[in-house]
Parts: sequence; C-alpha cells; structure tokens
Amino acid sequence: MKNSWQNLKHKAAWPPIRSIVNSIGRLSLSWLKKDYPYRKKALRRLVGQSGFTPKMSEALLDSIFKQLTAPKLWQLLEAELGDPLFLDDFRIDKLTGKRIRARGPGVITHIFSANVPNPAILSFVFGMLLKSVNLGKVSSKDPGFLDIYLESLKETDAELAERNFLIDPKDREILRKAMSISDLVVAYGNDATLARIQKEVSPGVSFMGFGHRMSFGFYLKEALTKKNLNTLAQKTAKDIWLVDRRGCLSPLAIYVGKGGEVSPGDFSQALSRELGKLSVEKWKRQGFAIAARKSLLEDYQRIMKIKTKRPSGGYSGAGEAWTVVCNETILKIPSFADSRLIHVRAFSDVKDVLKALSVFGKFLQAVSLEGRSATRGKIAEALSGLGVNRICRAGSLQLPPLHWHHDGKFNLASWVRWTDLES
Amino acid sequence: MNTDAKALDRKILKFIERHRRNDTAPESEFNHLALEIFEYQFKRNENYRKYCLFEKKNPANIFSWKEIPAMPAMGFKELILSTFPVREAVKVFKTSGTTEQSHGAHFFDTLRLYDASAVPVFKKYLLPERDRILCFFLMASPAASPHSSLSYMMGVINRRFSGGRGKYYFENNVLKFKELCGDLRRAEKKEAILILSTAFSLKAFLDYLRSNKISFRFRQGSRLMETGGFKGRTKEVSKKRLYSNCEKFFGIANEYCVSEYGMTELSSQFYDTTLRDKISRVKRRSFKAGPPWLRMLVIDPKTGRETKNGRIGILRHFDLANRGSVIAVQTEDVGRAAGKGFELLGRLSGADLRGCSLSYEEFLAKS
Repeated sequence: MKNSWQNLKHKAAWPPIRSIVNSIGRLSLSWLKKDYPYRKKALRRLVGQSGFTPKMSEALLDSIFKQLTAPKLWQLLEAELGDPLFLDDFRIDKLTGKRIRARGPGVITHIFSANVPNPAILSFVFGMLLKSVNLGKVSSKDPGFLDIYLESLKETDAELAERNFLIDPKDREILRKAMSISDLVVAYGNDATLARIQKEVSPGVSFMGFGHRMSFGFYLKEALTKKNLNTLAQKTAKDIWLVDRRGCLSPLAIYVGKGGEVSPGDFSQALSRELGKLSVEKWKRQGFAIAARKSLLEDYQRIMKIKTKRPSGGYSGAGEAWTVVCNETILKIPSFADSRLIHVRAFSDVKDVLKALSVFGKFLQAVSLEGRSATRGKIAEALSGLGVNRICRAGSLQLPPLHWHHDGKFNLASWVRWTDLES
Repeated sequence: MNTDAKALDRKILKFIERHRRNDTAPESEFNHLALEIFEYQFKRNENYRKYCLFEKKNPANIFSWKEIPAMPAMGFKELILSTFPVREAVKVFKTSGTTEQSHGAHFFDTLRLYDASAVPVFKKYLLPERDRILCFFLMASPAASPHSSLSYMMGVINRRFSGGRGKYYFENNVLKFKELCGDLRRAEKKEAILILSTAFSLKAFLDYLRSNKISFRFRQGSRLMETGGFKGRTKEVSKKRLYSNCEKFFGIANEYCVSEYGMTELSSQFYDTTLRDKISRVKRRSFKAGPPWLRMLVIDPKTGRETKNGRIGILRHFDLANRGSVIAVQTEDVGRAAGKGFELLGRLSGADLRGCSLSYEEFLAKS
C-alpha cells in the first residue's frame, strides 16, 4: 500500500467535478437506505466498538449522509468557490472577468480523533471534492467507520476510491512519511495532540487543526412558554443525546432565562424527562459507571448542602444515563460526574450569560439561541463578537449544514490555491 | 485532648497492640470498637453527624460496622471533618489536588494512633523477615513537605527501620538523580536496600537510568515499595512494565516489589501480599491486605450494598485509627474482593471526552 499512495500524486487526470459530486451523492443515498449492507456493518461498529446506542448510531448515520447528497455538495462548492467548475479548468470569473482555476492539495494527510466519527467522513469527502489524494489516520482507540465507507465507495466508483488510503494507526513512521509527502495536513483532536502534530509537519506543508471547542444552549425567557416547553425540552435533549455528548457541538450548559411562563427548574425537569425517553437503550458496559456516578453525585449534593447550609440546586436523574443539574452559579462538580451531567443555568440578565461565555474565549463554537427574532439578532451580534462561529436553533446543534464555517473558517476555500490567467 | 478521646485512644492502641502480628481480629471485637468510635464521632464531629442524619443513621440504629455511614473522600475537600477544634490540631495532612482545585485536609489532635498503625503493617508486608534496612526515599522529606501524609509516614519508617539513615531525594520539585545514583552505587555491594517511591517518581528515575545507560545489581533481599502516585496524572504507566523495569535496572525481582495503597483521608495503609507470600512460601495470587484495624467493603453502586462473589464495586474503608475524623471513608477507587483483601482496578472517571470536546472542569483546570 505504501508504494501505491506514494506514486499516486501524479497519476492520471481526475474526473470532472460534476462526476465526483454525483458519485459521492449517489453513495450517500445508498447509505441512507436502512438495509444497505455497509450501513449495517457501520452500525455494528458504532454500537459494538464506539459505544453508541443503536438508535443513536442510526440517527448519526442519517445526519451525516443527509448532508452529503449531490445537490448539497454542489451548493457547498458554489458557496465556497463561486463556481465549482473552477476545479476542472480555467474559467472566467464573473466578478473580475479574469480566467482563474482552483486546485486542491495534491495529497492531504488527515488525522482523526476518537470522539465522533463524522469529521473523518466529511474530511475525506472534502478532499475528494478538491481532487486530492487522501491519506487518513484514524484513532487506534476508536477507528469510526471510515474504512467501511471507503469500501462502499469502491463499489460505486472504483476510480475515485483508489485515491483514498488508510494508514496503520499504530505506525508512526508511516504517518511521518505520509505527512512529509503531503501538501496539507488536517488534524482533529485535543489541543495538545494538535500542537504535537503541528511540530512534526515539515516547513512548506500547510497545517489545519480543529481543536478544543465548546457549545452552549441559550434560551431567552420568552422561549419558555407552557406551549413550547415540551418541544424545547425535546429539541435540547436531541442536541445533548445525538453523539452521546462527545462532540464539540454538544452543549456543555443550557442557559435558561428566568421570569418566563415556565421556570428554569421546570425546564430542567422536562429536559430530564426527554433525555430519559431517548436513553431507554442501555449503554454497553456502562451500567456500573452510570450508577457509580449517580451515587457519587448524590454524595456531593449532600456535602454541598452541609457546606452551604442550603440546597445546591435542583437535580434530577434522567433515566439511567443522564443527570440534569439546575443552578444559578457554576457548580464545581467533581470530574467523575462530568460526561453525562447537564448543567442548566438560570439567568435574569442576558449580560450575565454573555459575560459567562466570554470566559471561554477562543474555545467557543456553537450556540443554540431561542428567543424573539429582534432580540435574537442583537444577541447574535454580541455572540459573534465573543467568537461564536455558529448560532442555530435548539434541536439542530448536531446537524450543522455542510456549508457551516467550521471553527469559523471556510472548509474547501481554505484548502485550495488559485491560478490567475491574465490575457 | 479531651478525656473521652484519651480513653478511646487507649482502647484503639490496645487493639493495635493485641493484633499487630495477626492477619485479622475477631469480628465482635472490631465491631464493638468501631461502633464506639462511630458514637464518639457522631457526637463530636458536627459535619459528619449532619451527613449521617441525611442517611437517617445514628448510633441508636446501627448495630454493625458495615452500616456506619461512609463519608465520601471528597467530603474532606469541602468540609472540616474533625472531632476537635481544628486550632488544637498537631498535624494537618493535605490531599494532593488532582482535577479539583481545592485541597482536602485531614486534621490530627495526636499522631500516636497514626504511628502505631503504620509500623506493624509496614513490617508485615515489606520487612517480614528482617528488622533493619537502608532506605532510599524518592519523595520529599517530612520537613520539606510537612502536609504530606506520605512523607510523614516515610519519616516514621525511616526512624523505625533505617535508624534515620535513609535519605530523601525529592527536593524543590526536582528528583536529585545524580546524588541518588551515587548513593545507590555505594550501597550496591554493601547491603540490601529498600527504595520507596511514588509510581511517578519511579518511572522518572527508570527513564533517567535508561537514557544514561545506568543499571544496578543490588544485594539479595533488596526491595521496592511503590505507591500509586498516578492519581489525576494523564500519563499512565502499567505496573507490570514498571516492575519489569525494576528487575532490569535494579535487579529487584517482581516478588520484591510491593505496592502500597494509602489515602490522606485514612490513618492506616494496605499493601500487596507479594513479598510476604514469597518469604513465607505461600503460593497464591497476591492481593492488597491491611492490618486488622482496617477493614474494607466493595460496594455495588447500584444497590449501595456490599458486592458478592468478587464482583467489581467501589471501595469503602473502615479505619479504627481514624478516631479524630471519620471512621468510614467512601473512595472513588474501583476494585473487587480478592483473597482476604482486595484487588485495586483503578479509579472512577466519568469523563470520557476526547478529541475536540472539552469539559467545563477541564477548561477551568486549564484556565
């Protein structure tokens, strides 16, 4: 395999962009069919190895492949490059009248983290759209299902598939080799990992890292109506539940306005109920950890009650898996309770939330913002100023559109280089 | 110290004296003293009493030591857990902050129980066949680290078993490798030695030896005590690899490497039975064992009751030497019953967040 990917850089011409988009789009339609054998195989992997529940895995696959249809891919290319056909040959740019052409990196090395499988698929699709040879290193802890996806691509478009390669995740030497022959290295992971990888990237090779990020829910009091309560709780539960709260789009806290028809405490109860409904399936091998966490959290609540001489905030167990804590201040919760602990923060003044979020600075990613349009616009302006790069509605945190500026950057546009042909 | 405390301490010291050479004590004797200590603590330790009342437990409705409410270890971080006014404390041991920002404190109005508890169990599991050994401590001295229970205990060991000849090689957060190597080299051919270290320092020292191509062949009977210094550290090292490196670089065989398990929140310690078994030629799978005044239960978090048939649970300790604080401590350590003690499997950690996600606590710890 080593030889094959090292020789591919200058291989025969790539098919036209339209053909690539159609191939990937066609494949996505197959993946959306429940009985597609590769989908079934990926589901088994997501449940058996990655630890997602079956329902969660189904939802996860749907969310990925609904975004990767031909019309959406074409729209992405248009949004980022203006005209997708710039990737085929020189064409006149309507704005400047110049003839220009876009080229993706010859070879891209992609390095993926173990938390969620989505970025691996998207990153390879972006590479294929830019006609790049893709070399991927998945995490040895959890490989996701990129290998299964590439297997399925072989059946749909063998020519396209043979430009994608997976590197042995444990072979550091081959990864170094891959990075050295790449034009771009794209890495996903925690900040320490990214810093380490960046050090290994040779000068002249571009590097793009997607590191630590944090997302939140932000609901103004007018969104807290009796009529809206269950829907809002359902949508929030979906945001939390979909990737088992492992991704950077999973909300770490939900800020809920006081003084609405429904109190933050009532919202917490409703959220707890909805999370319970979504979590009827058992987590593999995690029953013990969940029970232990619950019991330790109860201990913690007691201790804080003794310490502060008042209750440390509403708390409710949500089914077996989640715990919702409603409070007005940041609780110093022990780390063991963190991964399935949902903080609902009650607030009176929007400024307090903005101040609280500003602490997270460059780590801010997405905020699901609910409220009246006029107020929403004003707050969006402030959030953008803080560094938030995506403001969406509750229920869609985990479903970013393909053309979302991930980490505030262009996806394809920041990977391509341009040639201008002057007359 | 009040008269009640003095009277109780006399009983505990008698218990220790009576059973210092035994593996266990009669159930009724342990139970009787445990309940008496609990009653004393319920009366005098206000925060512990409040905690017990949450569980609707008091001395009148408890008849077995197993029912005594266990204070979660994190309680030492948030509450003052003392049976006496803390201004009367003669010693305060502080927990090392791991992911938490705050440090826990364990107050002592006397160290007599602590000292009396530490010595016999150390002897039983580290020096079963001898009384003296030259110690090398890869940790800070008691003077340099007055709030470390581990350093304090090492001081006790040094005085009792090394005649105060043992040296400490961790100073100002630096391990003095060169000095340590020089001293070890001088002792190498002379006498059997005992190296005492946290797992973290031991790994650092072994790494140093590897990169400087240094190794030792200590006299027969040399041994090693290592204690879990990895709590909260991101870098984990397998014990198996650590011990196999001890054999490689020190010539100390696996059976002569003993892992200690202690907590700032306790006054007594557990040790692997490995070395003692080897010397008394007992063939069995080693486990962690403590003295007769320290008992342990493995608790099933789902039911809050003791697990059965060696099933995994969270460890809960009952330490009669903890008279001045709380007798029962609920840990966040995971283990299972094994032999006449337990097997330590690790620590509860809920945070399974990897990749691009970041937790609040992780963030706050970073900022």
